[in-house]
This record gives sequence, C-alpha cells and structure tokens, in this order.
Amino acid sequence: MNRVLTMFQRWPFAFAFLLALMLLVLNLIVSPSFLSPARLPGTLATLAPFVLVGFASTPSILAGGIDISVGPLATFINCLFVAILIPAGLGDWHLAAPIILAVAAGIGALNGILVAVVRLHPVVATTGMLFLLVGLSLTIAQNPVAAPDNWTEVFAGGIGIVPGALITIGVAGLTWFALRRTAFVSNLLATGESDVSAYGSGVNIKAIRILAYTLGGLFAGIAGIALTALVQSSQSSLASTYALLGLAAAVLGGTSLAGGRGGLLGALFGAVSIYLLQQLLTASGVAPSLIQFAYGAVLVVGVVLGATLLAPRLKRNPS
Amino acid sequence: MNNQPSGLVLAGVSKRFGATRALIDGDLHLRPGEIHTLLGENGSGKSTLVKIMGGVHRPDSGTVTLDGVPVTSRSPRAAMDLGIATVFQEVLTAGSQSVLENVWLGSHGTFRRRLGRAAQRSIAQDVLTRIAGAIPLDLPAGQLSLSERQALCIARALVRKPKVLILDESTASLDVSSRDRLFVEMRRLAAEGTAILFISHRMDEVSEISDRVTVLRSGRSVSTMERSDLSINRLIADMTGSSGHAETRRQPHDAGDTILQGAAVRLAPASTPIDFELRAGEIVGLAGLEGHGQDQFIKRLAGVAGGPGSVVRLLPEGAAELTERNGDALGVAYLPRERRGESLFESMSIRENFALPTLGKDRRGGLLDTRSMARRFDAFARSLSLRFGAAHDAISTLSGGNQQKVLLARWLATDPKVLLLNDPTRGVDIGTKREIYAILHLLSAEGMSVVILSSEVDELVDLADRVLIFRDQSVFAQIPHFELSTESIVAAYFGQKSEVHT
Amino acid sequence: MTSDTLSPAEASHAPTARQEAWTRFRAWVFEVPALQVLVVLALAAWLVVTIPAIANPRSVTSILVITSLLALAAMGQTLVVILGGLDLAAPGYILFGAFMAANVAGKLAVPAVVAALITVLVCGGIGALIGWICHRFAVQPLVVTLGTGAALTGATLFLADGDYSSAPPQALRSLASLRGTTFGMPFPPIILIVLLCGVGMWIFLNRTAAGRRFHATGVNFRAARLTRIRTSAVWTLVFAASGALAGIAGIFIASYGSGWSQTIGEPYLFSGLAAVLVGGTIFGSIRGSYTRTLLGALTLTLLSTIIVSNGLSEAQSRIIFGIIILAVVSLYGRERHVRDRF
Repeated sequence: MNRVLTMFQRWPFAFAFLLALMLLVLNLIVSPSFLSPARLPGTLATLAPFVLVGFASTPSILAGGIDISVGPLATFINCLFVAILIPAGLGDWHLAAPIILAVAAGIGALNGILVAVVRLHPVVATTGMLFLLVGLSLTIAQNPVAAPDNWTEVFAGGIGIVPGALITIGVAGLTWFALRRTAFVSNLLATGESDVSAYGSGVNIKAIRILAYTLGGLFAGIAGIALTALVQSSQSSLASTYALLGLAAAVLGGTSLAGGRGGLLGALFGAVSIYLLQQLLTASGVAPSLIQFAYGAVLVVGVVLGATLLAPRLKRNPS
Repeated sequence: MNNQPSGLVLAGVSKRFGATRALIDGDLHLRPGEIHTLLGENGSGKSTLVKIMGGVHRPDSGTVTLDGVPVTSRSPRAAMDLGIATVFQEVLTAGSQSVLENVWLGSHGTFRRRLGRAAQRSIAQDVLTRIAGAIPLDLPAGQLSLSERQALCIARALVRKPKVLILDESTASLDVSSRDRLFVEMRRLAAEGTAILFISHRMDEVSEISDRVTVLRSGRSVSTMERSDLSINRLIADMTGSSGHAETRRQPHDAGDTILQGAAVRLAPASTPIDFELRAGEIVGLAGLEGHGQDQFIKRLAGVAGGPGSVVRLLPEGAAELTERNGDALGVAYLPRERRGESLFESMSIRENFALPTLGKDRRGGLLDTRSMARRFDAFARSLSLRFGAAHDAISTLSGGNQQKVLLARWLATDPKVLLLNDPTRGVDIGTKREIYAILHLLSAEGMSVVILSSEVDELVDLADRVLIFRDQSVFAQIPHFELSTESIVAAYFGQKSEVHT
Repeated sequence: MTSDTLSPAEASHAPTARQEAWTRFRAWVFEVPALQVLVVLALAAWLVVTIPAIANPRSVTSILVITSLLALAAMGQTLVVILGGLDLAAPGYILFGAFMAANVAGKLAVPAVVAALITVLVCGGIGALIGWICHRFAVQPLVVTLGTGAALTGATLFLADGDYSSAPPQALRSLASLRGTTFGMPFPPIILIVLLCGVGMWIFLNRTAAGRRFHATGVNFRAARLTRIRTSAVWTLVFAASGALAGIAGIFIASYGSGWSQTIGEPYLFSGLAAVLVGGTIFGSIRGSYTRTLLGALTLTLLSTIIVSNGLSEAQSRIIFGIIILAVVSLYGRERHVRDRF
C-alpha cells in the first residue's frame, strides 16, 4: 500500500493515468468498437482541443501563476483563421500557420508581461485578457462562419495511418520534451515553487515567467488549429466551454496550483480522463446534465485526493 | 596598472525606502583575500548594504565599484555575473526540487545548462560535504533540516567560485559543527584571494573569524577596525552609540508551584519520552543543535503541534489538556519563530497586529471600540519603549526589533501565566535584545513562567534558571543554574555531559 | 579610467518633496476608493451630457437595478477574494437560485420565503462544504469551486428536467421590477436591499472583531492560525456566505428577467469578478471592501450603458471591460516586486 502511495507521490500524474486507464476499459466494455481504426482518428480529433488547452494551461501554473484566457485564446485563433485569414487569402498553411502561432504566442507573451513586468495578479491579468479575447472573437465572427476546404482538415483525419490529432498533440509534446532537456523547465519549476528563492539565486524570473505564458499561448494556438480541424467553422461561442476546461485538465493531472509541481503528461491524462468520462456517460445514455454533474464531482474528488493522500507533503496554506 | 583600489568599494552609498533613510553615505572597502565583518544593530542598514551589493536594490546615490569598474547591477543575476555571490539572510530553497537542482539554481542560463550532469553532481557533492557533511543529492530540498538548507544556500554561492562572497547571517541557522566547517572553508577561500563579507549577530563568531570589522549605526558607517584593534566592548559601544557592557546574569531564586506539566512527550517515534515540569516564575531555556527536537518540543508545550504524550496546564481547579484552541483560556501564550511567515500581518497596522488575539477586550455592544484598542496599545507601547511613527502605520514600516516588541506585547496582552518564546531574539539587535531580557526578568519576578528556545548560548547563560539540551529528539541533559556556562551548554550540544553533574 | 567618471549608479535619485507628496497621495488612494467615486461621477456626467434623455427616473432606476443585481451577485465573490481565493461556483449558485424562484416558487407555487430559505440552505451548505474541504485538505478553492459549480449546475438542470419556461411569482418579480415601489417610494426594493447590504458589510468588515479576524486570515493564513483565529470557521463561513448570497442573487436575477435559462449564471461570474476587481479589491489584501464592489458594479453598468447607447455591440463592451480591468488594476493593484519580499 505504501509503495503505491509513494508512486503516486513521486509521479503527480499517476492518479490521472490510472483514472484514464480505468475509464478506457469501461468505455471499451460499453462500446467495444471505441478504439477501432475507423473511429480512432475522429475520437482523437475530438480529444485534441481538450488536451491542447490542458497543455496551454500548464506552463503558467508551473510558474506559480495561472492563465484562464487560454480557452478563449484557442477560440479566438479559430475565429481569426476562419473569419479573417481565409477570406483575406492568407489561408494557405505556410502563411496561416506561422501567423496563427505568432499571434497566439504574442498574446501569451502579453499575458506574461502583464504578470511579470506590470505585476498584475495572474487571475486579474488573464481575466482582463479573457474579456478582450471573447470580445474580439465575437467582433470577428458573431455567428458561426463555415470554413471552406483547408489544410486543417488533415488534423481531424489522418495522414496515411497516422491520425492527424497525434500531430497537433505531438508537436506541442515534443516542444515541451525539447525544453525539458534545457535548463528552462528547471528554472520554471524553481520560479513557481519559490520566486524569491529563484530570484535571489540568480534566475531571471521575469524572462522565465514571460516565456511560460508565451509557451501557454503557443499551445493555445495549436489548440485553435485542432479546434478548427474539428469544427471547420468559426465558433466564438465555444470560448466559455474551453475557458476553465484546460485548468481542470491540468489540475486533475496533478499539477499543483501552488506552482512548481507537475507537467504536461498530467494535463494529457487529465484531459483524456475528462473526455473519456463524457464519452462513457454519453454512450451509456446518461442525461447531459448528469454528465456535467459527474465531471464536477470527479474534479473535486480528484483534487482532494491529489492534495491529501497523494501529496508529498502537506502545505498548510490553502490560499 | 591603475590607481583604483582592488576589491569591492562602496563610497557614499545612500538608499531610502519611503520616509525611512535606510543607508546614509555608507562606505565599505572589501579587499581581496580578507574576511570582513559587517556589524550593526537591526535597522542599522546592514541588510540594505548587502542587498545593494547583491544586486537586489540600486543605491539612490553613491558609487559601487569592483576592481575599479562601476557596478550597476539591476538584479542578483547581474551581480553574480560580475562575480559577486550573496547568501541572503532568508534561507532560499525550492522545496520540491532536488538538492542538486537547488545547488545549481541560477547558475544556468534561461535555456543553456552549465556543465554536464556528472560534473554538476561531483562538484555539488564535494562542496556540500565540506560544509554540511553528506547530503543525498536527489532528496527534495524541503526534507532537509534548516541548517542543511542553509548549507545548501552557501554551497550554491560557492560553486560559482565568486570573487566576492557575501554571507548575510548565514550562521544564524547553521548548527555549530557546520559553522566550524564553514569557517575553515572561509579561511581557505580568503587565502586564495576571495573577498568575504561576513555578517553575524554573534560576538564570539565575529571575534573568531574577522580580519577587519566595519560597524554600521543608524544607516551610517561608524568605524572600521583591524583585527589587532578588536575589542568586544568597543564594538558594542560603536554599535549602540554608548559605552560599557554590563553582564546581566540572572540571580538564582526560588520557583513556585508547577503550572505546566508535560508527561511522556515523545518527539519522534523511537525517541525517549520527556517529562517536564514548569514552575511559576521560572525561566527555562531550551537549546540544541538545529533540528534536534527543541523546536518541536516548544510547539508541543504551546499546543500547536500534536503527538504522543500529554501537556497539561495545572490550575487550582484541576488539570486541563492544552490544545491549539484553548491557550487563551489556560493563560498560555506562544510567540512563533518566523516573524514574517508565522506572526506578522504585514499590510495591517501596528495597532491591529498588536490587538488581534485580544479583540474581545475592545468590544462594546458587539462592535469594536477603536479608542479602547488605542488605549491598550499605548500602555504597552510605553512600557516596552516601542519606537514607531503612528500606530495606524503598517507594521512593515518598523524595524525587526520593534516588530518583535509589538508581537511580544500582542501576547502579553492576553495576560499569560506561561510565555513560550521560540527564538525571540533571532535577528534582533543587541539594544532590543537587552530590553527584551529586562522585560523577561521583570515578568518572571511577577510570577510569570517563561520557556525560551534560543540558538544563542550567551543568552541562555544570562537569562535562564535551567536549560534543557536536546539531542536526537529527546532531552540529553538538564543544566541547572549553578552549572550554566557557555562551555557546559556547548559540550552538551555535542553529547558530552560535563564532569560535575552525573 | 579616472575616479571622476560618472557611473549611472552615481546619478542622484534623492527624493523630492513632489515624490513624497505623490507617495502620500498614493497611500490615500489606496486607503479610500476615491478614484472609483471620481470614475463613477465622470461616467455619469458623460452619460448625461451625451444623452440628456437618460436623466429620467425610469432610466436611472433601470441602471440602479442592473447595478444592484451585479453587486448582489458579486457580494460573496468580494468576501472570497479578500480571503485570497476565487469562487468559480457562482454560476451554479445563481442557476440554482433562479431555478428555485422560477420552477419551485413559480410553477409549484411554494411560498417565496420557503424557496429562498431552501436556496440559502442548499447553496450555503454547499459553500460551507467547499470552504471546509479547502481548509481541511489545504487545496486551492479555484478548482474545488469549479468542480462543485459544474456539479451543482448539472444537478439543477437535471431537477429542472428541461422546463425553462416557468417564471417567478409576482411577489418576487415586484422586488426587482422597474415599476416596483419601496414603502411608497418610486424604486424597487432591491436597490434598498443592496444598499443595506453595503452598510452591513462595511460595519462587519471594519467594526467587528470577526471582520478584522477575517481580514487577518486573508492577509496571512499561517499567522492567523497561530494567533488563535479559527481559520477553519472563517473559511467555512466565508464560502457558505458566498454560496448563499449568490443563490439569493439568482432569485433576484430570475425575478428581474421574469424567467431563466440554462446559462443565466455564466455572465455574472466574470462580470461579478470584474466588478470586484474594478472596485479595487485585491486578493488577500487589507484594502478589500464591499463598498468598492458597489462602485465597481456601478462603473461597469454605466460603462455598458454608454457603450450600448453609442451603438456599439455587446462584443465591443467586453473588449472595453477587459481594458478597464487591466488599466484600473495596473494603476494601483500591482503586486509587490520580488525584491521587496526579500
């Protein structure tokens, strides 16, 4: 028993991983064709925006802050691409992709500057940004605009036998993996754990924080592409759906809101768990309102478990 | 060459924070190869000077030069790039990161790692061993004792091989054996040409290690003297601005009835249980090397920590078990160790910081009567000779010593019969220390019982009726008043009972 | 190099009298929400000058009622923010309150008082549980409230069983109706209720021992515990109050709109938070107060009235809200630099 606990404490994402595994098995029992090659690309395409918004929430939380504007940023990117770039003739991938990613990273960097340089409370800064992004999305495309055929369709389907969603998730994952090999992630975790210690030891915490939010923005941009791939239209109304979902995925995956503990793998399993839970209940014919109830309950139980049984040590200060 | 002096030179450096002039025309010359001690009471400007050298603050005026080149660091990182490594007063570690990551924290670039993994490990292991003994490199730093974490911070500065090393009260949380090893290391580095600035409130350390001493008082540098001219009395005179140093050794006296009793208190699963009795009017000292259980013990006495065994308050009407809640009712007050983290409400006013646990006394018809609060505060402010601007100023405007007095007043206002003090003079200047000692003597004469945990041996010798020495989570020795001496206490720290009492 | 080379560090930064006056002025601005009052006055003046027709009792009442609803919805959030947290369950509470008003008091004709009581008990109870859990297990309220809010929303929608066409009874509607009267005076009771809440909150926060202990818990949790403040009770009660108040707000919101929908609570979460922030209450700060939230709510309502009357869209008002939040908070809600926390 103790060994199991130690494993949970060592790997913050272990809980979400086991939860996801369990839900996967249940899903397969309820609908045995769940993982069939025919359904897989579609399933993954629905999953990808969840996972990527979860990724996007993670770096800022690790840096000891929070970014609640990543969901709206993903929908803003979706509206920008469908309602502005394509009509303006900038819809080709070699034009659109760099523009999208630059805009998303830029907005992330702006959040980072508001937090690290202007020194706004991260919730305040990103709430302001959330209002801005929701407003901009609605201004660009109040009502859904259908997208013509475009390159993002690949990410909802597949290239050969490779499901397209693996590419969007994979690009983000590889970016993080590459960064782990540099000093950046160590610096990020130290800054999140104790900014005073990191600053006093000579870490450039301003740069680290700005980069964390920029990275979150970049991931949100990829999430916007995955979202466009899925819906093939502009969906400004999805902003509120995704606003807090990423946060939930990251935290369910064992990333501590106090900063300094967790990672992208946790967000992956957290998002997969939430998605599988919804799939399972939908497939079992449960009413949508009860699905939402279950989602909320799993979130609370997961967080409380993560903070008690599975935490390496108790931090007394809950604020 | 040129006519610039080598080493770190501060000339006419001033700094103010709001209305407070923290440093006025501060001068300091730190030569390569010397161990230079900076001495001064709290609020004398030491920390400000350190933070200017360490890149935290920029001076309002004056120059800082290193080997003749102007230093204009905007951050600790910039200072480190110039070869100035500072171990700040606070113990700065990232608790869930490994010891290894912590040692190299800040040495890397934003992305680029310095050195390979293997080289990092061997250097870190080597430097840590030289100060603190073997510490497992992969352990999360949060699991280390305070002393080990302090050693880790020192190691972090040493692995950078700095030209200038600044140690701001780094020995305050270091246990004695680590401190001795640090001194050896400091002498070795100085011999190799490193300029070392050393700050400590402990006179024995200052006279042991310093090549030169500069004294600061009220933000000004008062004097600099060579090792050959050092005398403790003169240093104290320069620091306090007065002359003469009177020993205030406590007179033995008879204690009253037992008022607090600990029975079979166990601090760790396998440790020897402790039985403890506190009598009215007694001052009992608790001491030991960092992390040997004295801190846990005083928390048990205060009821803020739980565990096996019982702590009861003996009242005329019977015995009552102490819990986290009933300290007020039982007349037990506890002053925690970390001022900022555990005691202060920094943005709240001085007066409210004082009144919070006793707000009930200011209630008139359900509402707070601020005039009653002001009256109560003024009475304490007078009797503790508290120095402050206005009582509604934020408590963060006070110096550390004065903050501590406000906190002492906070607990005295609860009319305690038992006062538990967890290292109350840590980082407090000598002047305020003496005032606190005088208050404690007075209170015990009035029948209050005091338990004081202290990391300063001299303090215990001067103050206590008896001292309990902790070793390995239990009481190793109890030294009665007539045997109290620096030697007997330190010997017990290291597991040696002096010959006299067997 | 010669010694008279002027280095940047040498440049004098000696503070001037002007700087000191500025420091004092800033301290004063922090102390009282004078800036917020000025902003409200300026916006009101602008509104009257650009649209003189707005200066009639009906429009003024309308603005005040909308402000009251927002302020009521943000009341609990103010307390939670002062404590250093964030209550994301607010939409769930509001939805539940609206459901009780429309489907229970309206359709099932349960007396309004009983419906309100049930709302307070359910939302307050859930809030208390959240506060207790967060305190007991040292978890961030952010996610716990997010999860609980989702669960409560799901449960409420399940109970409603697809019926969103009921309306609250007349007794409730008259409380927030624009044509309502209060003791014969020509404005609906909700305005008076919110004003009384404002006065009550001010007295509680500033003039009671419990209020000061609550502030202290927000400023330094660990020290509060060691100062024998019952932090567990503080957390439980604050989140319970937040739940109960948001539930009550839900009743009024449904009554004002004469009906409800699945998403009735959503807009009030972020707008309510915006009102708190624009008012100048900051996380875990001694400066937080409900008076500020009232001013923040008034500012936002006036602002959106101006925006809408200038023919701009809802979308653009969001953009302006975002900019206002960032501007107001950058002005004086900045966190301390890490060097000042050394």
